[in-house]
Amino acid sequence: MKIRSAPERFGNVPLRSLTIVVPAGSRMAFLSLMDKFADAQKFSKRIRSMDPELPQFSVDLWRDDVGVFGANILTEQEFDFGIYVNTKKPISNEAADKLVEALSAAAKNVPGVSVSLKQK
Amino acid sequence: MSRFAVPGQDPSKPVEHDQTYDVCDPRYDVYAGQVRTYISSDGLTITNYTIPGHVLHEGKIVRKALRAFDGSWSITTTGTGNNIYPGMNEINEWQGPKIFDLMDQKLRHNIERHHGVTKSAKVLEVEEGDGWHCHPASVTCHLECRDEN
Repeated sequence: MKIRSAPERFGNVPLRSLTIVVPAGSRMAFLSLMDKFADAQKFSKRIRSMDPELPQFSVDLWRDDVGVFGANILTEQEFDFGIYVNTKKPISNEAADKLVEALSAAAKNVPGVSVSLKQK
Repeated sequence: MSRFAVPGQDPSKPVEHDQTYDVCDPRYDVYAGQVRTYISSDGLTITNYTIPGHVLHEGKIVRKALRAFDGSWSITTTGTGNNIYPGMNEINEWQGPKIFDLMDQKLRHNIERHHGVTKSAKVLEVEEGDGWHCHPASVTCHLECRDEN
């Protein structure tokens, strides 16, 4: 898949925020599934370890209209995800809701994973 | 801490958890990209993670405020990451500590301006080089304010 450059700027406040709790034993399965989710939703992606000494991972997914960024920085099992619009080409609330539903449905395919919407 | 979390930040606007912020080199006002900010529940650790489009994507900066047994405070800034753009790691190691030194100086000025300095405490000079212990190789700097009595 061709990597596209990121849009110039994402919004400062997330349009939607989710917490995805991933048990340590399911983390690799979850990240693998995020990779497939990115392909299915036509996102460019970068899913990597963030720190050589800590079990921290980032999930960066982006396309022309929206960025989906998540990481387990504050606690090992909780991935904080935010959906940020491209300020020049914002998506609608309905489209954001559909994206949240798709992301939640994909994540729940991994055993032990739970998803909660933080704000709307 | 939240007023001096991101290079180029306006201190009158503290950062908030889960939001993105523009990053500028405060010395030259050069835009570098955006970071997503995470704040620990005690507010003493702020992590900034570069998002796609930032010249130093993907990278993480952690700023921690620590209180020592003698009551002094120090701030530790640590950076890690995998630069996508060739050569940026060297620029980062060279200029990163200078940028965060400047932010720490402003933080110290801000604390002194708003909380004052008691007569019993002799605070080290804030001028660059004095009272600062920096290790550019590890991008770690400590700011110390000691009671000399």
